[in-house]
Amino acid sequence: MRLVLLLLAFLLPSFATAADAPSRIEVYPAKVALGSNRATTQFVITGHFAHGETRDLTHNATFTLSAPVVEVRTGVAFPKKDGKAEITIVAGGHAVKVPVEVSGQSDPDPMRFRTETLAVLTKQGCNSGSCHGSPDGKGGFRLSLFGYDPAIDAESIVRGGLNRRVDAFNPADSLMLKKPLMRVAHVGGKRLNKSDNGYRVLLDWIASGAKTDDDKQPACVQLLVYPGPNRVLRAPHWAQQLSVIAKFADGTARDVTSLATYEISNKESLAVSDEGLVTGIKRGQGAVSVRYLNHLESVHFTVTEEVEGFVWNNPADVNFIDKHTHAKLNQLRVLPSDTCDDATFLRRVYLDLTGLLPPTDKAKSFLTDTTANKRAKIIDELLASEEFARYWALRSADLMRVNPKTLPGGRAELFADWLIDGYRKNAPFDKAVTELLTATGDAAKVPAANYFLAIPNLEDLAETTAQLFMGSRVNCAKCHNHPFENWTQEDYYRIAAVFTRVRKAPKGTMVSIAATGETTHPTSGKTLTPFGDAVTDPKADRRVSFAKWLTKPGNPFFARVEVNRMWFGLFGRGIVHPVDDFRSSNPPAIPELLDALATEFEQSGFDRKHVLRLMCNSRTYQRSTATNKFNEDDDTLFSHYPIRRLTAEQMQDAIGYATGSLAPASELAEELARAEKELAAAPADRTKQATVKRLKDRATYATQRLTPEQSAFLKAFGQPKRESPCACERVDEPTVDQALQLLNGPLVAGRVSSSADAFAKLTDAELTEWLWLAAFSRLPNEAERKKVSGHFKKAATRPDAVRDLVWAVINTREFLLQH
Amino acid sequence: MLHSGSLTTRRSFLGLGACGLLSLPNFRPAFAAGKRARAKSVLVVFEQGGVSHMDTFDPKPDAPAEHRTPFKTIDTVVRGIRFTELLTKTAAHADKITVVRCMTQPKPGIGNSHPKGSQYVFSGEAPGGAEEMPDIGSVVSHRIGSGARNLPPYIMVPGTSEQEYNTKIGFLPPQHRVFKTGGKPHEPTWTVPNLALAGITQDRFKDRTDLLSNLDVGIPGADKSKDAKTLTSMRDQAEDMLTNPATRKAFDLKAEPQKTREEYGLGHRGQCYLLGRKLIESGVRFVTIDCREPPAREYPGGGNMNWDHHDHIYSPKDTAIKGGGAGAGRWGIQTWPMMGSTDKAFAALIADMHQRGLLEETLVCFVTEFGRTPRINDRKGRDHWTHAFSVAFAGAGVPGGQLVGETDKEGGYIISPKAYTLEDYATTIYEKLGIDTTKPIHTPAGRPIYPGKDGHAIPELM
Repeated sequence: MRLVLLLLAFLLPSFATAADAPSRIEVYPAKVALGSNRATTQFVITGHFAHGETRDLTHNATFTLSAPVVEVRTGVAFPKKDGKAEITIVAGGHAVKVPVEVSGQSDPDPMRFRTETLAVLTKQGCNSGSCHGSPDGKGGFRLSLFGYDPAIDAESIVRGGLNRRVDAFNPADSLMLKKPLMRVAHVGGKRLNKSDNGYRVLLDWIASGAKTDDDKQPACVQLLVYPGPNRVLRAPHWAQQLSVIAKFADGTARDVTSLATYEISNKESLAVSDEGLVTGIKRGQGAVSVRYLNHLESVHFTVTEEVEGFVWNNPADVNFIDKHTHAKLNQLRVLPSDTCDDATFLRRVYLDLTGLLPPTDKAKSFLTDTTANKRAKIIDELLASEEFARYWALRSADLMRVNPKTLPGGRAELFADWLIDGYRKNAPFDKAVTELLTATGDAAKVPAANYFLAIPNLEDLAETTAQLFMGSRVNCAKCHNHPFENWTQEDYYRIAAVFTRVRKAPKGTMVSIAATGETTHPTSGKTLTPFGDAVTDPKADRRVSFAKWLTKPGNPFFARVEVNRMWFGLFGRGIVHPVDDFRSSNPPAIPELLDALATEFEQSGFDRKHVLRLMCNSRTYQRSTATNKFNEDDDTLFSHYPIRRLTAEQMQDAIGYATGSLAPASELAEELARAEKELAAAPADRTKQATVKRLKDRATYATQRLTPEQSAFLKAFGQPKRESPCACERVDEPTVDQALQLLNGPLVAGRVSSSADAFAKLTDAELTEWLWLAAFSRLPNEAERKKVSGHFKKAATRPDAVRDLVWAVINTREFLLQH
Repeated sequence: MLHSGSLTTRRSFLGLGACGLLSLPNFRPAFAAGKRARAKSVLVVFEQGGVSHMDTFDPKPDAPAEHRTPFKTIDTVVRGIRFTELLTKTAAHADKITVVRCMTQPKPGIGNSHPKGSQYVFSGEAPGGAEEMPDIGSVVSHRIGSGARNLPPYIMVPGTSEQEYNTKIGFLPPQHRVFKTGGKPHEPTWTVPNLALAGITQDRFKDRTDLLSNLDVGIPGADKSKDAKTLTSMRDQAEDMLTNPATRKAFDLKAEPQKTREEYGLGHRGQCYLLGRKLIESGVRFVTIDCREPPAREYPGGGNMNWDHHDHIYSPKDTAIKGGGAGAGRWGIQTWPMMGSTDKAFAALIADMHQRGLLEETLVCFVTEFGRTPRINDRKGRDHWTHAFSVAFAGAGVPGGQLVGETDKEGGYIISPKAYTLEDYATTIYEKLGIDTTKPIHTPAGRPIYPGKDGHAIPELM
């Protein structure tokens, strides 16, 4: 594979014509110093072309030496003898001279366990989670995951396996070589070839005594990956060589391009060789993650090519959101869909902002309204509604585990109400989160203090906080360093240290802060400082400094994570997706868009409604679901509106409304006023009390109630139990169970059955119109009216005809899907 | 601690084999990639509560009299294999089964309670790990899907209320959740919930779906949307489930000849076993029978008739003792609602499946969460015992007439060099089905999970 890629790189067209010549070339690194007989340097030669385009010329360059101190093969300098020289590098008609210094060629330089052997074990996959890096190892041989604990590895390799894993007398007969070479049976298959650089590293290390006592050697402190952090590959120039340099604590540096491990986030678009040569495969985007020891850096690649017949349709930008999406779409040659019609927009924005279908009268008047800014007006109206506050708080409450089982005695309701109030009053998000994360007092009275009671223990508190507000799944780092990100075990316990002084009264509802209490690293035992800004006063509440650090404008996580969650709420897909998995190896689909939204959010004083308003008004949000030839394969760049199943709560309320059994929630205020008046007249009447409570809690509406109902219907459609901080707890895929509920389930059967009474007074034509407006926010067309009247003519009894019609309407895709 | 000694022996034995010091005849790569599947479906009979192995598959006639089972040791059709007389009918089919007498829970304590122990059996992994493991049946559904489009891939018959929360879906999507028939299938009025049209005739349902296809004009882009396409295909499948005569037939016990029904036993257990066979025959991939005789007038005091015989295990009637004990609500092990109906139903099941050729490609497993103490306690009962217990297998290439493993003369500890775990049981199922245990399933958070990774397929069954 590697060979093929290298060959491909060589075969790429050379730059014969002057018109296609670079204006200059850039050589990295600018000088070469090889201080050991093992040291190498990978060159990366970049050509700069017109319009800011860059191309990798590494494998088209020629290298000429003033003295033979090194040899250059495939862009890599290998030392030959001590001395100084100059390399002249020629590419694209330009020449650059690079000084070279070679030293220490006759000094011994034993292979290092921590920086070389372990890197090879990672590169060959030996210590991955599915092999010897799993908690119990494999076949009796255990390694730490990606080498995070060298002490375990040293013990296991040198002394484990009856001392047969390494054989210093006959290095080549060591089990740790024979196994991956498949010279003896190896369950993991062939993992190593004698021609691999890794083989030489392992063999030399064993031959030089398999020493593991290099723990006093300077540790790697930084990984430099060049080029970065992002690069565009334009066809036909789809290759890019990477250079990886490790910096050590003593200031030295080493080229580790061939020791590093490379991974691709999107294998459809990109490939990478063991030597760091990246190749585009298909138009698209992805990250190449480079791992060396406990360090991980990613380079984001955009792979583009001209598409035949593609003409950019130059859609107008409504606001900066469109500017960024359009730029990305144009770059990747994806053509956005047109704007959706009024009916689709109205239904979409109602469902997204309030969880509910638009009432029929609203739909009817909207369709005939000729005001130019009617869409913007409806967005403002909905953002101001009680239904919006409740529906968006429901999503937050899902993640904060607001459920009466863990927060009994009315506290779940109290906490939910606080979340609703935050949306209702549009509380600045930084203030709201600070209030939440620093809450103390009696949770029966201080709503936000319930955050600490809904989460069972300290580790969980650290994980949940990181997942909710930093978009990071740090839980991996509890037991080992995070496999795909730079989260270390130390980071994990430093986040825990923020909350380590939180005290909860046993069986009570008091949350308080102790003056002392520390968190230590589980293996080193070192006392850890809390994550975030340094705490100067040792007795201060550490959460305050943490919240300050978190909510400060410019924090890399806070604003990005929240705007991404809002985007997810409107599109069913995050710009970073999944929404709580921010890491360099999982890049945003449109980074400029995410950055711009985050900045806007910060500058608006963390105004959630402001950002939602911008999103809803954008052309990007108002696009049709219809695809065209140039965007039908896109499902990550928002070139068309993504179709998705209604959520559990939306589904239940939509069925309720369309079957005539649930009045629009906007009419509740009147109903409540009436009920309160009646209660005032008879304050002791239990039924009247219950009615008022039900109306106040909006318990009849799944999208509006304070705590989840968890009925069989809602569970089938994925309503979360609220047991985890992961947005993934809410399952949104369609299943057979759901189909059975819709076709034959008791909830649907009951509502369909009573619809005959509810609609008894309407004529056939009136009913048809009402149903279409309720279910689809549009009027039936001629063909549909005909079909329905035909249905009524055929029917034996009218009530059954009504039921069958209602059943059919709520089972159509147009009804069941958000579109 | 004989049992842990034997475990260590086994593990290091394998380890050495892998190192090449010993050549182990059955040493092969543990992954099943490319291996032919021996089983198309799996039928698990889960007898919950902890069946006493000394009173059934592992008789101990030489145990001290005060702890010995009162039931005779009998010969089976296979020389050298002996059961107690409580398995008289099963003994006639010993030539079709392998009895594993060296089952153990390697981490005593984890699965020593009924909820945890049941979960351990369902998922094949000790509960309490970093990720909640789905049931083996759910993993199988995820990996190889259903064998019959009109039926769920993983069905439990009927699923008892006691272990309601111990079947787990874990990190898998909801369509792989177990489908529990619930109820009392032996009663003439029983129908399977949700899979039969509720309150509407087949004809009218047909009219409705016709009207639906007439009105379902779709939305632009639906043909390119994953959700829209899945929704339609799920709807088609659900319609098929509801209207396909084969669905009704699969659950229709009344369609079985009376003679067959009687052979299994006309009570609850017999009919549940029979329903299990019918579902396998209808193409269901994974069926678990988890039943117990429901409370009935003829079994006074039998409120919860599982195998948890803490008190009065040999009572001719109910097991209640004065002052109440942990084992109230059962009947004595030898009574009809307990081993009487079990022996009859299991023997009938094996004979029937053999006769129909279903054993060719169905792995049948008779399991329980643990055994019971070799010594009788002061309440004349036996308590939980995770160190050693017996399970039985048949079909899908499992050799018949085989005994695997041995316990000491009281039945307390394993004395054979090998011991097998519930993890091994799970891996055996996966490998029999040809599922590659080296291929991970990723949780929604991206963590790779390897179902079956902690076990080795039991070589004597492969």
